[in-house]
Amino acid sequence: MLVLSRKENESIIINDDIEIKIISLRPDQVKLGIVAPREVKIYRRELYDDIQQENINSAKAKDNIAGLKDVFSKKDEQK
Amino acid sequence: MSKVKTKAYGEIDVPENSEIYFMQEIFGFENYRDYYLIEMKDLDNFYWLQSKDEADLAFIVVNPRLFKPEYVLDVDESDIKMIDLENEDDLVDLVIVNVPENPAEMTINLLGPILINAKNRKAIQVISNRNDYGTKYRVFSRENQLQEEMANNV
Repeated sequence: MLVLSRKENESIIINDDIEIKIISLRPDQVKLGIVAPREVKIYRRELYDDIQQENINSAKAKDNIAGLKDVFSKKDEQK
Repeated sequence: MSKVKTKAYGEIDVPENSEIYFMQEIFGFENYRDYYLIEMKDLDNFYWLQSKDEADLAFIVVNPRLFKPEYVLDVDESDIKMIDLENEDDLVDLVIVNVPENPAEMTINLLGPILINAKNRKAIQVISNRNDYGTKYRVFSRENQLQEEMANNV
């Protein structure tokens, strides 16, 4: 991993067309400004990880489908 | 019709037009781009998103409004562009269902919806801009579940 030191209002350029700027610095948080072409995907890491993990969990479901049907038929009966 | 090996039903015939192509992978499932959208047997409104290349890879998907009527699709314009959407009427948005050991605790992933262009059958999984949408929206509220448990104990 490349590690660079930057101060407030300084920035880095990636691949000629992506700029990441340090907007503000606080002891526990850094605010970044990002300028990039529209097609460049930018995600907060934790959201991306959350969805990926949930996808993996969901793909495992298999044996519970019969149970799922039971749940729905019960819901219908209650109506 | 084409023959497809599925996780749920073994080898079955599915209509050609149920084929779906992901412009980028479903997060966590690199190398899988081709899927079929197959109606679930015996369970209305639920679909299998079945991988074409890997029989064991399939997701259950559903229209989020079935369980959350006020659901709003809020995604970037660039995501919509990825599936070459020309007419908004062609947009189908679905969410992945997670069925845990106790199916009454089933959740849907509102944060990572799947967009499908019904016309060209291009699809993409996106991240919702709505920060209050999580990956584990509980479909049956706890209240419903308590009622059910009581009913079962009678």
